[in-house]
Amino acid sequence: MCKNHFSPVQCIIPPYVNDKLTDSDNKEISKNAINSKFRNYRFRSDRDFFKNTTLQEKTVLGAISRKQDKLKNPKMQVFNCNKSTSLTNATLVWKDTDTRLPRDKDAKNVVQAGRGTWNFYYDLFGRNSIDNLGMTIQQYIHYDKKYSNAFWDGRKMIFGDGDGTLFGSFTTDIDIIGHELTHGVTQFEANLDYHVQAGALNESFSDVFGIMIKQRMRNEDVKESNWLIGENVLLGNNYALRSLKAPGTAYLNHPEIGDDPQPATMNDFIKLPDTAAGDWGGVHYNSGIPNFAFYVTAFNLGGFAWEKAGRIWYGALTDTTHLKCNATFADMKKVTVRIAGELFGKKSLEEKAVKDGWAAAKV
Amino acid sequence: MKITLLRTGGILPLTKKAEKEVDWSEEETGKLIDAIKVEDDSPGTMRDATTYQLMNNAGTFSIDLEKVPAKYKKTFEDLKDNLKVVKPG
Repeated sequence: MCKNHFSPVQCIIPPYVNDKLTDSDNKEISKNAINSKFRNYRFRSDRDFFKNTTLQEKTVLGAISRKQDKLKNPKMQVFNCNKSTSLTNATLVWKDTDTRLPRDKDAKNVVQAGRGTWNFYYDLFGRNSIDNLGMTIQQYIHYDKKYSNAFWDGRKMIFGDGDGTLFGSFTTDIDIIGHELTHGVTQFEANLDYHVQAGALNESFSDVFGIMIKQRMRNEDVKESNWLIGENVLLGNNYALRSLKAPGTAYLNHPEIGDDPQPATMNDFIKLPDTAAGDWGGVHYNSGIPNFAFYVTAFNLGGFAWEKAGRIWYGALTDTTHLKCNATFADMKKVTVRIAGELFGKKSLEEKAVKDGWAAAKV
Repeated sequence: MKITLLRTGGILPLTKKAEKEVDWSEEETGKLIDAIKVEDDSPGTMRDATTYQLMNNAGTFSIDLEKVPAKYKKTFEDLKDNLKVVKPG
């Protein structure tokens, strides 16, 4: 039995049970139930309030600095699938309490990039892991035989070794690990649908934060970065999975996969069926458009992308009031322009840079 | 009968394909498809995931390879091992 029967935080009592208890003839039970109802209301109210506060408000209220004292290391586990598709039979090969890095190269890659990703979200935005509630980051490596992909399954990240001819290991690029982890952040924030424009925004957030995570780990500013996602995993000297700087140029004349099909502007939006074979309406194709808007914004602002453009995009990702799960590119434009105004002032250079970014992408 | 295994999707969406001749009867194939067919292939919370489809003369079906009965495991493993990229365009 729970230690404190009536605390909504420590013990979950369904509201309908609590409501009945408030009418109890036993005055003590009734009093506790009423108190519990009040605390429950306050708890929900506080949570709603903090969910909608800006980064500046959180800092002023001390919500970030207090957390930073408590949280030093990310909670993380790495599992080896041993070339099987079973996650339940995977072996735990590393956990955050281990003092040494794992020997396995792929395990080491996901630990280092996982830490970089966790630090990025924590240091810059005070975010406590994927769900902002300290969720343990679970990464599964050596999935399946010659599996050429990495994915987020709703709770975990899974990485294949690649086929060795077209693709190398999917753990070799920091930005891919950051990309997958950001799918988790998106799930717990804007939770954008994985279809058509909302899906392309979902993919774009993963690319945008994936590239910034890599840039920060390499200490690269907007001019030093090549703005390429997956520059190692797609084998060959001049290939990457995507380019934020020039969507549609990440790979050209590739003997197996031809040319990068991503559009950079709305004029070239690709209409595909909303099916698995149609990439759910081209979510990995049309993400080139918001990716390009972000690149132009960040490049015009200069310095490190995460300092200004990154703050604006994170503000949008976590603005669940205005960025709905079925958001379009036009909705995203409105939200980012508004947030730039809130963070840096109306008619500020930052607000103009955001407008120019979306104008370049013809949204 | 010719069957085709297709794999689509991924962080870089590609279609991979492998074909094989099998001596299964239509009834047997129908039962197999009923056993491995995925009714709802929507992405749910999966992101960048790959999905499999089985194509035969009756149509194209989204399937779950984990559900393949032991008797057919080797056929599907062979198909999976021989998946080749379908060049876009």
